Amino acid sequence: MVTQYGFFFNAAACSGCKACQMACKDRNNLEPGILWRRVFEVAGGGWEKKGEAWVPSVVAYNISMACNHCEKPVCGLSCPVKAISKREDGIVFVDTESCIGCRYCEWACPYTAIRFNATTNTVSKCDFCYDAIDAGGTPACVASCPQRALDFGDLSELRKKYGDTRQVFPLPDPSQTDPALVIKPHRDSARAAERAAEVANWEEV
Amino acid sequence: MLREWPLVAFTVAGQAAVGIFLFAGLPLFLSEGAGGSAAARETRLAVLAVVLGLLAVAALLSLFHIHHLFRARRVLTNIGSSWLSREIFSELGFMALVSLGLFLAWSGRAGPGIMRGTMITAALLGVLFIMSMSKLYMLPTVPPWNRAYTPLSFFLTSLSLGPLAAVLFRGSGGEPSFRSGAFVLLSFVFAAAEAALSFLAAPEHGVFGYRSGPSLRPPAKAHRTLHLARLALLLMGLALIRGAMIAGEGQAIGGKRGNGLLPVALALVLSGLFVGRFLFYGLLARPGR
Repeated sequence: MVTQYGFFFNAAACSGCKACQMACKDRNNLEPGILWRRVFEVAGGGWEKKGEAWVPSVVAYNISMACNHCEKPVCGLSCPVKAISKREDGIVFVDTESCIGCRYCEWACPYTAIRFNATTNTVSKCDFCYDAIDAGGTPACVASCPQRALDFGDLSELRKKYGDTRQVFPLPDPSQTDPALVIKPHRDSARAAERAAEVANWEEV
Repeated sequence: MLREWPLVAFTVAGQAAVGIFLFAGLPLFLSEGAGGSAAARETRLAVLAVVLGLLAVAALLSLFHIHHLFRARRVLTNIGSSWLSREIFSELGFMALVSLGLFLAWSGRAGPGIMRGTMITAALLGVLFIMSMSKLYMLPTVPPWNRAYTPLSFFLTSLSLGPLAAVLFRGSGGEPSFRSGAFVLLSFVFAAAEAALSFLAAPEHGVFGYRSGPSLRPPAKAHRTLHLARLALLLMGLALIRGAMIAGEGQAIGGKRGNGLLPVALALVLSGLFVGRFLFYGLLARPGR
C-alpha cells in the first residue's frame, strides 16, 4: 500500500511547453487565473569574458511545480479550521466545504501551490487527481507530458528510481516541509544563483 | 498590499487595545482595586470601554478578510497546531475578561481581590494575544516575517501607544497621584525604539534588514517611499512628544503647558505604525491574480 505519493520532475527533459499546466486546468475545470500546476521559467546570466572572447553565460530552464503533498504540510498545520488534511496515501487534500477563505495557508506554502478562487471564495490546489489514482489511473499532468518529464508513484520507489534531489534553484529549503518530490536537475541549475537567475514569467504563473 | 487593510486595522487596533489596557487600565485596578474616588472610577470605566470598543472594532474588521463567515465558528478547531486559532482564542479570552471587568467596575459589586485577579488574568491574555499574533506570522517558510522584527514591532506598537493613551486618559482626569511625566517619557522611549527598529531592521528597507532572494513567491510590492513616510511620521510624533516634555517640564498633564501636543503626537505615531503595517504585509505578494 502506498503511504506517500509523490511527483518526479525531470528538469533536464522539460521543454516548457506547459502541456502539464493546461491538462491540469482542463481536467479540473479551473477558473481563469487559477493554475494548480505551473511551469516557472528560470532565466539569468548574460555574457562573460573568457580570454579575449565574450561568450554567452545564459542559464535557462523550466520548473513544473504543483502541490508537493509535503510530509510536513505547513498549509494544513496553519489552517484554523482543519480544512486541509492528509490522506493515508499522503495526498494533501483541501476540503472546500470547510474552508473559510482566510488565505493563511496561501502564505504558509513556500511553493505557492495554494490558490484562492474568487468565485467560490475558498482556496484550492492540486489534489493529485486522487479519483483517477484511486481508479488505478494517472494524474493528468503526468499523462500529458510529451517529454515524459513527469512521473508519479510511491515516494520511496521514486527515490530508488531517480535519486533523492528535492531542491534546485530557486525552490525553498526542503527541510521546511519535506516535499514528496524528486527532481532531476537541469545542468544550468547549479550556476543559476551565481548568475542572478530569477523567475522570468510571473505573469503566467 | 492595500488589499490586506482588514489585517492592518485588526493588528494595530488589537495591539493598541492591549497597550491601553496595560498602561491606562491595569495600574488603576492594581492600585485601587474597585474602590477609589468617583473620578478614578469614571476613568477606569472609560479606559475599559475604550479597550473593549477597540477590540470589538478589531474583531469586526478582521471579519473582512474571511470569506465564509458562517463557517468561521470553527476557527478554534485547530488550536493544537494553528497560531491563528490560538490568536483568536486569546483575543476572545481577553475581550471576555475586559467585558467582565467593565461589568464588575460598573456594578461596583466585586471586591478588590476579584477585580485585581480578573484584570491580571486579562493582562496575561492580552500579552498572549500579541505573542500569538507574532507567532502566526513567524512561519519558517516566510523568511521576511520569520525574524525578531515581527514580535518586536508588534509589541512596540502596544508599548508606544499605551503610555500616550494613559496620559490622555488619566492626565485629563486630574488624578493627583498620576505621574504623567513618566508615561510621556515611556511613550517617547518606545516610539523611538520603534523608529530605530524600522530604520535598522525593517525587512527589505532597513539598513540591516533582511533582503529576499529568488523564490517561487512573486516579487514583493512594499515601496521604499512608504518606508520613508513611516520614519518621517514617527520622527514627527517623537518631536511633538519631546516638545510636550519640554513645555510641561515632564508634567504634560491636563491644564499644563504642552498637553495639546500629545493628541497630535499620538495621531502621528499611530499613522506611522499604520504605514509600517501596510509595508509589513507588502513584504509578501500573494500568487496568482
